[in-house]
Amino acid sequence: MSVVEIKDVAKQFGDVRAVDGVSLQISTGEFLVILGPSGCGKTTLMRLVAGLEQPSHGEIWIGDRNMNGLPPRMRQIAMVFQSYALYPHMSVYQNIAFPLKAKRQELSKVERDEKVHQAAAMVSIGHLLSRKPRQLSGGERQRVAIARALVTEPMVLLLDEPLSNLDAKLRAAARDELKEFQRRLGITTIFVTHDQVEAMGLGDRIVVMESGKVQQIGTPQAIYDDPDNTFVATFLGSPSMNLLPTDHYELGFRPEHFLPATRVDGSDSIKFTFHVKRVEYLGSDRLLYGFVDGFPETSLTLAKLPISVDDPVEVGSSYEFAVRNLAIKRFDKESGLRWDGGKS
Amino acid sequence: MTSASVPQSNTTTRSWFPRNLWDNERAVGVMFLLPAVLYIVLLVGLPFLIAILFSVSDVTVGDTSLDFVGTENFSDVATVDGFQYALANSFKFTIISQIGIIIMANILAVILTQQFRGKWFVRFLLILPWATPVALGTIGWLWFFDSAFSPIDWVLREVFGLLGPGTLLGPAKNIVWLGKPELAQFAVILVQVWRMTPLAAVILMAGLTSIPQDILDQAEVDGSRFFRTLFRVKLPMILPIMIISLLFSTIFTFGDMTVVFILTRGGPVYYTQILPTWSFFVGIQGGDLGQGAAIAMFLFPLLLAVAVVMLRIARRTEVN
Amino acid sequence: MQTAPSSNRRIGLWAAISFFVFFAASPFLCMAIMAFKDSADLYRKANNPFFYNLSPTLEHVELLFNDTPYLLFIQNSLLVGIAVVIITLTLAVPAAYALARLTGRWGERAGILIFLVYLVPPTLLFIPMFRIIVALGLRNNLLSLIITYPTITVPFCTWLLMGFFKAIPRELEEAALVDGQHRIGAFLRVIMPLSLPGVISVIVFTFTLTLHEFIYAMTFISSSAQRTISVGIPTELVRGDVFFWQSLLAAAVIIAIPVGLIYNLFLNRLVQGFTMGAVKG
Repeated sequence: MSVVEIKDVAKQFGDVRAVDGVSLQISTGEFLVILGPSGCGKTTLMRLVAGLEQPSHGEIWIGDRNMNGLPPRMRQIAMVFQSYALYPHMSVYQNIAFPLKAKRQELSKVERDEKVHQAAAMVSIGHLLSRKPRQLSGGERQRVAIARALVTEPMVLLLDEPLSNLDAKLRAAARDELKEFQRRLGITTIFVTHDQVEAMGLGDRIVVMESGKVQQIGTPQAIYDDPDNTFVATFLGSPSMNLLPTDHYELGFRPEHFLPATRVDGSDSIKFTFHVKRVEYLGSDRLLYGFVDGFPETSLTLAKLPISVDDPVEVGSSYEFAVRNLAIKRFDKESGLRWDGGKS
Repeated sequence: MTSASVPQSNTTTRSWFPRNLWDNERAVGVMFLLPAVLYIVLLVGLPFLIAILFSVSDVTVGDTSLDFVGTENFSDVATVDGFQYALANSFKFTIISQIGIIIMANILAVILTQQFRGKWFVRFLLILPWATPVALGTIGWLWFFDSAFSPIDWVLREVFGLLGPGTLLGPAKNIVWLGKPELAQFAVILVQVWRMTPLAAVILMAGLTSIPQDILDQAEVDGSRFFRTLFRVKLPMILPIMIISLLFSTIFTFGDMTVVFILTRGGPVYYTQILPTWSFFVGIQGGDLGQGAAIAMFLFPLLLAVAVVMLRIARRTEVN
Repeated sequence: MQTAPSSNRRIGLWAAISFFVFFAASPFLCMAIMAFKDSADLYRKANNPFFYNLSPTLEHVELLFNDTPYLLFIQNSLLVGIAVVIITLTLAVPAAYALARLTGRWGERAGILIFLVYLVPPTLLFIPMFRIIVALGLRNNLLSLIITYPTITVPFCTWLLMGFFKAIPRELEEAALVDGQHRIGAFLRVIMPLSLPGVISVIVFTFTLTLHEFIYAMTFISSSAQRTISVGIPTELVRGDVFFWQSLLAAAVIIAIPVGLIYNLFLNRLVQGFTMGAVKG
C-alpha cells in the first residue's frame, strides 16, 4: 500500500520549472532516496511533499488524503533539514518537545515528558537534554534533529541531505545508524541527497532526478546495472561508465567490467585494443586511463582492475581488453535512452 | 480519515486557498504590513500633502481657509533676509558639524573597541551627551556660553590670563559667545558635534566589531601595526556603515531646531537662523502657516538628494 | 623594543580617552557642581565656578521638585515613551517581518520606500501636523505626541528589524512549520525570541527619540501639566529672561545619569543590533 503518492506534480518558479511532471508512489515502511545533482529539483520535490511549497500542477496524497493546499503542520510528516534547524534559544529537551506541544495537544504533561525521553533515548542523547544546540557537536545535533522529527510518530519522515554537514568518518557511522532506526521503526522515509554512495547504501529504491524530471526509479542494483539513459549511467558509479560513440549508438560499459581479455570469458564478449596512457594506484584497485582502437583518442576510456587482477600494465603499451556482452549497454545517440529497452 | 471528508481541490490551480488564514503566506504578509503602511500613509503621507497644499495657499492660524496663491509664499519668504541666512546656515552648520562628527566618532569608536581598565565607566561618561534630552544638554551649554558668568570665560580670564583689560582677547572681561555672529555659529556647531558624536560612534562600533578576526589576524601576520591596520584595513572596511551613519546624522542635524532654538533663537539678528527655526518662527509664532510650510519645503530638495545617495549606496552594498 | 610601541600606545590611548571624556562629560560635572551652588556664589564673576566658594545648598534642587512639575514632566515623558515604544513595536515588528520574508522581491522595494519615509523630518511636517492635531481636538493632550512620534520611529525601526529577520535562517522557520506551527506561531515562538537584540535596539532608539523630541512637543502642547521634560524644563524654569540656572542644570543632570546608565547597560546589545540590522540589512 502506498503512503505517499505524487501524481504528475510540477512546480514553477518564475520561468524555471523546478519540478516537471513527477509521479511517484512510496509504500509503507519504504526508504526512498531521491538522488540527483544540485538544482535537479529533488529538494523542491521534498518541500512539495512537506507542504513548504504548493505544486503548480498535480496532486500529492499522504495516507489517503489529498494534501494540496494543506500547510505542513496538517500533513503528518516530519522533516530533518540540512542544517538541522535546531531552535538555538531552546534546550535539547525543548527542541524535542516543541512539535509535541503543537501537534499532539491531547497529551498530558507527563505523557509528553515520557515521549521526549523516549525519543532522546532512541538516538542516545538522553544525557544532553538540558544543553543548548550550540553546545553540541555536529553528530549530536543531527541526533537531536532526528529525535525531534520522530517524537510525533509521523507517517512520513523527510530527510534533506542530513549527512552532508558531518565529516567523512562520522558520516559513515551516521548512515548505518539511520538505516538501522528506519528499519527498526519501519517508518516511511524520503531521503534527498546528491551523494550516490549514500543513495546506494540507504535506499530501498532510488529515484534519480535531473532537470525536474524523474530519470529512473528502481532498486540501487537496478539503477546501477540497468541505467535507462546516459544521464543515469554516468551519474552513478565512480569512475563513471565509459561511453564510446559508434555510428548508430553509444556503447556503454563500466570500468570494472573492462578487463584484460584473458580474464573475461571469451565466447560471449567484445574485444578491444586498449592503449594505456596513465595508471593510478588506488590501493585496492588500479585505474587505467587510455583509449581504444576504432574510437577517437579523445573519448577517454577507463578500466578499473581489482587487486586480484595483477596482470602487469605499462604506460604507453597496448593490451587486449574485453567486456562481457551482458555488461554492455547501448544508448541512442540523440535521446540518450537505452536502445534495448533496459533489458540486456 | 477518508478522502471524502476532504474538499476536492482543483489540480491545476496555481494559487491555492488553505483552510486556515494563518497558514497563508500572502495573507499573513498583507496583514502584517498593512497597519504600518496605513499608519504611514495617514500620518506622513497626508501631512506631507497638506504641507505642499499649505505652501501654495494663504492659510494662517487665524484664517484657516485655503486660497490658492501659487508660488507667492515661496517668493515672499525667499526675499526676506532671515530666510537667506536660514538657508545658508542650514547647509553651513550641517556640513561643518558632520565633518566634526565623523572624525570624532571614528576616534571614539576605535577607543571604545580597545580593551582597557574602567572601560565601563568611561563608556558611561562618553555616552552621556546622547542620553540627555537635547534641550536639557543645550541648556547646560547655554550656561557655559553665558554672557557674564561663562565658566569658559572664567578659565580664560583667571587661569590663562587671556581675557580682560590688557590681554590677548581683552579688553572686555567676557567673550559674549552668543552675541557675536561667528562665535554663535561656532557654538551651535560645537553643541551639534557634542551631542551627535556618541550615537555615530555606537553605529561605527557596530561596524568595527563586525570585521572578521581573520582579517585582523592576517594584517598582523603581514606586519601591520595599529595605525596601518586602522587606516588601511578597518576604516575602509567600515566605509559603507560610515556613510550610512553620516547620512543619519545629516538628516538629524539638518532637520533639528532644538539646539538653535535654545541656544540663540537664531540670533544675533539672523546669524544663526536655520530653516527649521525660521519655519517655526514664521509658521507657528508668526501664525502664517502657509509661509512656514513653504520654508520647511526648502528642506525637501536636500533630503531628496540624500535619499538618492542612500539608494545608490544600498544598491552598491547589495552587489557586494 | 617589544614593549615600547605598546606602552606608547597605552599613553596615546589614555590621552585620547581623557580628551573625549573631558569633551563629553565635563559639562555634566560642571552642571552637577553648579546645581548645588548658592546664587550669591554663582553670580559673582570672580568666583571659581568649579568650586563651592560658599557652602553648597539644596535650595535649587528643592525648587525643582517642589515648585515645578518636574516629576510630572518625567511621568509624562515616561508615559509617552512607553506608549510610543509599544505602538512602534506593534507596527514595525510585523511590517519588518513581512518585508523580510513574506513578500519577496516586491518586499525589498517596499522596504526601501519605508526607509525613505524616515528622511522626511518632523520639521517638514510639524505645521500640517499641528493643523491635524487641532482638528482632532488633541491640542494639549499627550495623545497628540503618542500618535505622531511613531511617524519618526516606525520607518527606521522597520528597516532595522528587517536586517534581523533576514539574518535568521529560513530553515528554522520552516522547521517550525513542519513541527506544527502556523505562520504566526512560527513567528512568535521562533523568530521573535531570536530577534530580541533587535527589539532592544528598537526600544532604546524609540525611547531616546521620544525623550529628545522637541518640535512636536513644543508645537502641540502649551499647558504646563501636559509637557514632557524636553519642553517642560526650559519653559518652566526660564521666565522671560530670568533663568533659574541651578534648577535647570540640576534637571538636566538628574535625567542624564540614570538614562546614561541604562544605555550603557544595553550598549553591547545596541551595537549588536546595529551590526545585524544595519550591516547585514
